[in-house]
Amino acid sequence: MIKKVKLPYGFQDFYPDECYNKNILEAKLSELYKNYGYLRVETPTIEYYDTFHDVYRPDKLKKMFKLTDSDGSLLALRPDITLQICRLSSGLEADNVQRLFYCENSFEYLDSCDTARTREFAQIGVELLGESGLEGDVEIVSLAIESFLSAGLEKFTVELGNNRFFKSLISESGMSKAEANELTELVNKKDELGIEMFLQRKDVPYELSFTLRQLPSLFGDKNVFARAENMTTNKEAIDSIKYLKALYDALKQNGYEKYISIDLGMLNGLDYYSGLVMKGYTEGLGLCLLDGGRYDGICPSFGHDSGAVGFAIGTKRLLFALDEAGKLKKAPPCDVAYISDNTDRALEKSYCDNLRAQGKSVCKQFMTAEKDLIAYCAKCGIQSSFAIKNGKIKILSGESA
Amino acid sequence: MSKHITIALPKGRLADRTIEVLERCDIDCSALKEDTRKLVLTDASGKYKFIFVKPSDVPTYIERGVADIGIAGKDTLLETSADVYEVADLGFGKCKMCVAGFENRIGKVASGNLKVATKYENIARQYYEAKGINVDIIKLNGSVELGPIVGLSDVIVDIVESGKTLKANGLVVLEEICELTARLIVNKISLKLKAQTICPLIKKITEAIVK
Repeated sequence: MIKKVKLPYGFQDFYPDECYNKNILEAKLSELYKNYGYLRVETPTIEYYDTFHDVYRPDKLKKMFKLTDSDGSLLALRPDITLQICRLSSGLEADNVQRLFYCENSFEYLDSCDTARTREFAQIGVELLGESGLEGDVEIVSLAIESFLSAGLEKFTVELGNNRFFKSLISESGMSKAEANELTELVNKKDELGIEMFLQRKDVPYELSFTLRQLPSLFGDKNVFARAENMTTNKEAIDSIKYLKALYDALKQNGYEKYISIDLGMLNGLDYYSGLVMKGYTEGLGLCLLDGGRYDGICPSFGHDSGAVGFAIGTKRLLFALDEAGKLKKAPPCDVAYISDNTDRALEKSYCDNLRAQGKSVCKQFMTAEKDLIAYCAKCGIQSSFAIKNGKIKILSGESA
Repeated sequence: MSKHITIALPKGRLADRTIEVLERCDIDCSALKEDTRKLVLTDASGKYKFIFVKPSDVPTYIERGVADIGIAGKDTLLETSADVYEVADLGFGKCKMCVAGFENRIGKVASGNLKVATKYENIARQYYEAKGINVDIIKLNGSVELGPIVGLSDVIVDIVESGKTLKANGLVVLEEICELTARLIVNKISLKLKAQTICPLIKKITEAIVK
């Protein structure tokens, strides 16, 4: 027999209890973003492959689910919402600042099930378009922190980096793109030995090579700024540290200092993010909850010159973290359960409507005996119950209208 | 994530040397030396929790954050390409990833549709891709040396430590792919959130292996 319950790997159901919590989480964050003036957008699941082609690196393009259209055009399941928002924002009033958010699923083609990732993943994210300065970054990092707080997470860290720091060191070294990619990978693994061996082969000047070798340890609290500033004379690199420090100071004034950490060796999507990069973590989950940064170079490829910054939260991962912190609840049972002999439907309707108008969830049960209903309510923890018999309401437990 | 540090230890080849290094870092490993079938052990201070896992699974435990730090062979890291920090070369467990086969068939090695038997599917694929050679990869889980002997494959890609197994079976190393050692790996989030405990531990371990 064919098992019809089987799912392709990397796809998951959300069962009622989980879905209940997911909806609450999405509602809390939507409310937060609304209060900051963000408007929700919805984007299609399918796009032209070409939309992503010029922006993504080949390895990311490979990881897209592809389909063909009736005219032979290549289509793709969206791998990420941000790019869609860059595309759609070109149709909005270009001069204005746009504040947008979304709750959508994205797709990633994984060719092995041996990974902590899934092929369809829910994301909640915000994008601020049309502001290229520090203030945009301050708003987005603040909103990332507020997102975790609204979700109910207490212990979390938002880690900040600046891709410009590494990029300016690379352009100083005169490395080729392939070499830079190799070094990026080593830095992202914090593989000091690998970096040292790489730099020995490349004949990089001593001072610069010293700085690059320090990258894996350039993380921690605000002391990182002073350490980094002391190890380079590269003006652009120093500017990028000063920028991050200004961002840090602004966030500190907002009272967010305890949630912030710094990692100048976090090189996240160097082709994609132009400045600020950020990641969010929490105790109890060894995976990253939030990912984002500034991507000023992306909107121009859709024909409008607009600075942009944003982040996305992995909804499922945040649910895991909240569960670990004991913040998730089982979906509660209904408030009121009843049975009816189905002789007086007008009474049933008006009585239930009245209860529902008071905000109570009212749920009909299909047993016939009153004692069965009482036993059922006791088992499920349903507070109130009643029976309708011969045109009369009989309260069995709790109180009803 | 609780405050203690969970260390994933590889069973087998790297286990003894790993315990030796940890002991030099003043970590009480007496529990690890007892003959036990327990998979989870704790040191006397309760500061460290040890889990014993199959060597090729170490990166998985670290990537998913159920263990904070672990010891894994570079072979495993290259094969799984797990998203972890690779913070130190422990120096021991030295061996080489090699292409091996029969000496008298060396002439055939560079021809197309070479049949390669290996446990390290990804390493073999990447190696031949970089050389621009199309090969058929045959994934095996053990006794890879049998491949050329019984005619399942032309060559094998495997780690070579002493070369004794190869020699005993009449095989020789044809090409060296890379050198391998044991590495200290760390979960990307643990390093940050438990920096106060993990960073000094990494430093201690790095110093201990130099001694």
